[in-house]
Parts: sequence; structure tokens; C-alpha cells
Amino acid sequence: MAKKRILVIDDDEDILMGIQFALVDSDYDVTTSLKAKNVEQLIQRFQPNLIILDVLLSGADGREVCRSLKAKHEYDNIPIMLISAQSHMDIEARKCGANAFLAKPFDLEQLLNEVSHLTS
Amino acid sequence: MKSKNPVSTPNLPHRFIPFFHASLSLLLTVVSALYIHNRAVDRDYLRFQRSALQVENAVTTRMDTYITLLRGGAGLFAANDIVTYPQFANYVSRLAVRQNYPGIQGIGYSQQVRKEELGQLTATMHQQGFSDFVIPPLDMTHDEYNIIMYLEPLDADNRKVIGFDMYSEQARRKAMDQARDTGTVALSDKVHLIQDRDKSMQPGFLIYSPVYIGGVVPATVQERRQRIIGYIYGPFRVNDLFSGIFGEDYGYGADFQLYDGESTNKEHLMYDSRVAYAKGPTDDPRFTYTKTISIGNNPWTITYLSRPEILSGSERNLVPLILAAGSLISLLFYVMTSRLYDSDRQTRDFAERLMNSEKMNLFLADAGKIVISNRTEKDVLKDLAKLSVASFCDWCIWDMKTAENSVCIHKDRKKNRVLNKHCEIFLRDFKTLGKIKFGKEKGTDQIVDAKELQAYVKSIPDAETKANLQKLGMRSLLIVPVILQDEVLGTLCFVRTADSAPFMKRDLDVAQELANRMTNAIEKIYNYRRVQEALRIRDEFLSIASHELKTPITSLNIYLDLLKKQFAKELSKMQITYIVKARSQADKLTNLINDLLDISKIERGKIEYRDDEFDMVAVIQEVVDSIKKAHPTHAIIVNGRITRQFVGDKDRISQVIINLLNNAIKYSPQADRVVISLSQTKEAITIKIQDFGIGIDKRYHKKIFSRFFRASSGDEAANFPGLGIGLYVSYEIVRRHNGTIEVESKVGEGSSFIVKLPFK
Repeated sequence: MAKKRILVIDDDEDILMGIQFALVDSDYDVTTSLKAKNVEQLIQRFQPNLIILDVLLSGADGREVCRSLKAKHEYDNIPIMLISAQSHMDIEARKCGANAFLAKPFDLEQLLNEVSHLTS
Repeated sequence: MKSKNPVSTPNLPHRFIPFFHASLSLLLTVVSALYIHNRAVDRDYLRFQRSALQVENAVTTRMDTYITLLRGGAGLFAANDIVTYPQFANYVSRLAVRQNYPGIQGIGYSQQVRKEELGQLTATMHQQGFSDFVIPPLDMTHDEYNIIMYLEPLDADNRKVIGFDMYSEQARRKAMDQARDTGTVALSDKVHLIQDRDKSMQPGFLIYSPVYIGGVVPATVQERRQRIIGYIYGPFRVNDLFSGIFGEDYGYGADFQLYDGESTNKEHLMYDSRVAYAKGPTDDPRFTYTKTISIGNNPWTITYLSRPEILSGSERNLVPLILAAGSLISLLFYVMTSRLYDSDRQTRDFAERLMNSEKMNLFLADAGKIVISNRTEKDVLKDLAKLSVASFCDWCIWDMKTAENSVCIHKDRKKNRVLNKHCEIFLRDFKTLGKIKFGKEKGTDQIVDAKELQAYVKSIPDAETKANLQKLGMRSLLIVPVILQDEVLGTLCFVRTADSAPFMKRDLDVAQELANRMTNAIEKIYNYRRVQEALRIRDEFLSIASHELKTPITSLNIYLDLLKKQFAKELSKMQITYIVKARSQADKLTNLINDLLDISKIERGKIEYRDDEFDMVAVIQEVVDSIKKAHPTHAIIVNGRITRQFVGDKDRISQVIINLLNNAIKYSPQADRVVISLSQTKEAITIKIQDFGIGIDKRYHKKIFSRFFRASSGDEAANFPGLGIGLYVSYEIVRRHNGTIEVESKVGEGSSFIVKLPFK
């Protein structure tokens, strides 16, 4: 069975790497990005099964990115998980079409459970 | 401003009420006085008439008697061909006329004789014993004479008369001729008796009764003239006659004046009872009336005059009394109603003033409400100005140093455009008039007087501005500075038009009070703004800080988890334990950050609560499971059941359970268990979390739910870590679910926290 591809976007490099290690460790194919600027190119190139997207990206808003992706026919079937340090974001995350929300800080176990759930 | 100065517009009709009442009362007095007067007059007149009638009766009765008497004498001559002197004297003396019929001087007989018979008459008299009978010298040119032959009682006065020719005297002759021609008695006009010739000229009259040959009255005048032989006559002194009739005391209510004939000429006056009885002539008799009566076929005219006595004691005397009393009562009435009206007016004035002051109080109260409404200064100013034109002035211009624009409002909305156009000019001028400048204490509140105001209007150079000011209307101007801490912050200019009464001292007080409240408002707005700004900064900081704190914790957690996973693969038990400990500290840090965020959210009411429908027991079990992992030292026992689904914020309620369980474990380090008891009623569910730890002193039971509460140093609880946030947050969450949270505890005996949450 081919590995599930996950695109992770977060402006904090440590978190980005941490998530990458954890997911790779759990046998996922992971691509990371510090910016959401070229998200569509990344998607086209990488064809992810899941996008993990931080809300507060330096210079961009994850919610906007999520909304614009969900508005496009070619991307709207890719599940998106929003993550944020602001725990009350869960409602807003749902509003802009995200399939899941995870408040920072989270347990690795929580993350893996959600990811496995969203990619299965 | 609808209401005007109450004193300047009294209710006009009311002012005349006292006059009206008093006039009515006076009118009543006059009418009743008139009525009583008229009744008294009527009664007096009746009394007078009765008196007059009595007088008349007395006179006519007596005169009838005399006439009868004289007729009797005539009868004596009719019965005898010749009546001698002794016969006549005897007859008269039997009548005792002077005693029985006072007033008559005597009864006499006079003989009708022709010139040629005069000598024979004298002889006859001499024969009868009248030796001294002499006929005084006569005018011998007449054909006929009427000589008095007898007059009884023959006293000295009467003796003077014997032999007198009565025909020679006009009045007597006229009466005798009348008696002769009519065959009955006749009265003479007023005469002076011969007897009185040398004495007082008392008026008198005579009554004649004719004697014919054969004693019978012939049928025709012609025959009567042929057959007349003489007359029985009676001379009367009028005064004596009436004093005979009325006695010594004249007791009648009517005086009278008697005239012979039908005229009331003075020369015909025979008698005046007022003179006769020396009662003094009443020149102004109340009533008089004149009547002509017939005595022996001759007319007498009597004028009756009322005497004052019949008026005395009558109701007429009441009239002045009634008038006086009535006037007095009217006056009293006037005074009383005036007073009543005055006091009524005063009461109404007072009530109006009270209402006015009540209105002003309401105005200030409304102003107060606006002031505390926590809105922007501009909104507050605008609302206060609107309120002012609604109930205090007709238009206003307010200027605040701190607000961007001045506020101009006219109660007549249509005029606002014009007002706005000139607002800045007026404001500048008004401030000059009021000598108000922004800055340190420049300006006092004042009412600009009418003269100054007129002078100002005149002085406006621009014709359009002047015309527009007149259009806006300006009768009275009141200027109040707004002063905050010795600094003039603004100017309030209130204007009243001719529609309203000018400003008065009390209005100044109201305006000052308004300015004070505005000062408070501005101060409050400043403070509020400052506080809000501080809170905003705090929350922003907290939000950023927590975000910034959470980011490294997120990394930390991920790497710790990765490490743990790695060590698990390598079966390095020791390292795993270390990592778990590090991880739990990171969790605590996360919780602390969350709590801090929650507090600022609760403070600002920013927590959003969701309505999830969930199974309470499942949620509790989830919490218990996670806590058991972190705190293997305590067994957590759950008793009881909750079967009904609960509606509320699932995450927040589990936060409450977590807080309470964490506390229970934290404050019972020696114990090995915590008991959760669940129960439900129709209305609510109860969750009781009981520990067997150090307990809480009763004095802290109420305080433990307040923000940042920590037990005092010296208490055992003071040795435990924590920010004192958990219970406060829990309390707020439960409260927002309309529930309650209570504590039962004693020091050393553990604590029970009881949460009651009602079903929705």
C-alpha cells in the first residue's frame, strides 16, 4: 500500500520538523512548508492526502488559505486539519471548511489519531 | 419648553372670582334690604292710612252729630210758629252743648228780615225781655238782612253777636243762601267769628240749617226763597272743635291739614293738627295724601301727613342694619374668597413650581442616565443636548475642547440647518459675551441680561447672520462653563426663544448641575477609556503571550512525545519515566496559560458558550481516565448515575470537573482516593466531588471562588502551588450554566464541592 502523503504548513520550523518526524515515523510521506504562498503548486506537485495547516502563519492566515482551497473544485476533496495555539479557533476552523482542528499544544498521540482518521 | 413662568400667566377668570362672589353678596344684600324696605313702607303706609281713616271718621262723625243737632233746632222752630227766647234758651240748655258737644260755640237763631221789618224785630226782642237788644248800624241799601236773635249759651262772647247781620258778610251769606235753596244744612267757608273779633284770629266756620214757614221744606227753590224765615246755626272755632274731637293728646299716626272747599291753598287752611298740638311740623312727612270729604253738602279737603311715630319700630329700621351687615358680610366674603383664591393660587403656583422642579429633576436624572451610559463623549454630548432642547431650552450650542465638533441643536428640527451654518460665529460671540475661555478657570456661569443681548443682536455686522439669529429666536441666553479640575473644558450655551419664559436663577442652578454631571461624565469617559485601553492591552498581551508560550510548548511536547516513543522502542524504562515527568510539567504549563487566558475572557465576557447535547457520565469518565493517568496515587471512585442527556458547553464543563478533581488530589496528598457522587432530579443534576485532605477553614468558604484567592500564609493550604484561578473559572462556568457550586468542608476533614447544573 502506498504511503499517504501529508502536506504540513507552519511558520514555526521546530514544530514543522517535529510533526514531520512524528508522521514519517508513523509511515507517512511528508512535505513541509513554512509559507502558504505557493500552496497550490505544492499540492499539484505533491498531491497530498491531507493538509495540516497552521492558522497564524507569518504574513498569511491559515483560515483564508483553507477557505480558498475549499472553494476550488480541484482541491475541495483534500482534507484539511487546522492547528492553532488559540483554542477557541475550533468553531472558526469549521466555518472556513476545515475537516478537523487541533489546539496547540497537542499530544503526539492525538495528532496521529486525527491524521490516521482523516487519511483512512 | 412648553411651560412658562407660572407667575407670569395667572388664570385670569380666577382672579375675578372673589369680586364676583362679593358683588353677588352685595346684590343679595341690596335686594333683601329693598324688599324689607318696601314691605316696611307698605306696612307703614297701611298704618298711616288706618290712622288717616280714624281721623276722618272722628271728624265726620262729630260733624254729623252737629248737623243733626242743628237740624233738631230747626225742628223746634218748625213745631212752633213762634219760638220765644225762653223756649230756645231752655231747649239749648237742655242739650248742654258745651259739655256734650265740645267745639261748638253755641246754637243760635238768626231771622231773615226785610229792611222795613227791622224796627218790628227790635220791638219783638224788647218784648221778650231783651231790653238791650240793639241792631248795630246797618248798610241800609240792602233789601234783606239776617239778624242774629238768639245764641245760647249766652255768655259774654256770644252776647257780642246778638243783633249782628250775618247777611252782610259774604261767606255767611253764601252758606245761608245755599242752605235756604237746598233745604238742608250748609257750611260756611272759613270765617272769623264775631265773638273773636277782639281776640285771637282763630279760624272758624258756621253751619246753617234753614227754617221755613210751616216747618216744612218747600218743594221748589222759588218757594223756599219765599218761605224762609231764618236759620238755626252753630258757630265753630276750629281749634276748639278739633281739640274737642281729639282731646288733649293727639294720638293718631297721621297729622292732617284741613282746608275749606276743594283747594289746598294756604288761605283756605283752617286747621293744622301739627300746629294745634305743637308737635312740631314734620317738614318731611313720609306719606301724605289728600282727600275731599263732604260735610253738610260742603266740601272739605283734608291733607293727611304721616307722623314719624308710626314709622318708628317698624322693619324699616332693619334696612340700614341689613345693608351694613350685608356689606360687612360681602366684604368678609371678598376677603375670604380673595384669601382662598390667593392661597389656591399659591398652592397652584407651588404645585407648578414643584412640577417644574420635578421636571428639572427628571431632566437631570435623564441627563445622569445618559452620562453613565458609557458611550463616546460625542454621543453623550449629542444626547444631552437633545435632552436639553426637549425640556430645558429652545436651542443650544455646546463646545467641548475634547470633542471634535461643537454640538448645535434647535428644538425645531427645520431650523437646525440655519443654526449649524452660524454655529461657530454664535459660539464665538456667546463665549465673548460670557467671557469664557478654555484653559485655567476663565469664566463663570451667567444669564446674559436682555439689554446686553439686544445690544449684541444689533451689533452683528452681517445682515444674513442677524436675520437668521432672529429666525432662530433669542430671548434669553444662559452660559455655563464646564470645568474639570480648575480647567475650563467646554462651554454650554442655552437659548430660550420668545416661546418660553426667560431664564431665571433656578435655571442657572439646573444648568450648573448639568455642567457638573457633564464634568463627571467626561471624567468617567476618560477613566473608562483608559481602563478599556489598559484592558485591551492586557488582553492583547495575554493573547500574544499565550500564543508565543504555546508555540514552544507545542514543540516541546512533540519532541518529548517523539523521545518517549523512541525510548519505548528501545525499552529504556528509566528515560521514559523522566520524559513522562517532563511532559506532565509541560501540560501544567499549558493549563496555566489556558487559565490565564480564560480569566481575561471571563472578565470581558468574551467566553462563548456552546450548547452541546452530551452524556454527562461519559464526559466525567473521560476526565477521570485522563486524570488517573497523571495521578496514579489516588483512586477516583464514581458513584451514582445520570441517565438524562445534558445540554451545555461540554468542554467547559469537563474543565470544571478537571479543576475540581485536580484540586481534590492536590489538597489531599495523604489520602488515596477521591469520590465522585452523581445524582439527578427532574430539574437538575448534582456532581459532588469529595476528598479526604486538609479541608478548608470556614472563613474561606465564600472567598475561595474569587479570583486569585489564595489561603493566607500560615495556613496549610498556603504551601500548595497555584494561581488561585481554577475555582474562579469553574464558578463562572457553572454560573453561566445557571448552576451553583458550593463547598462543604472542615479543616482536617477533607472537602466536598457540590456542583448543581439545571437542565435547560
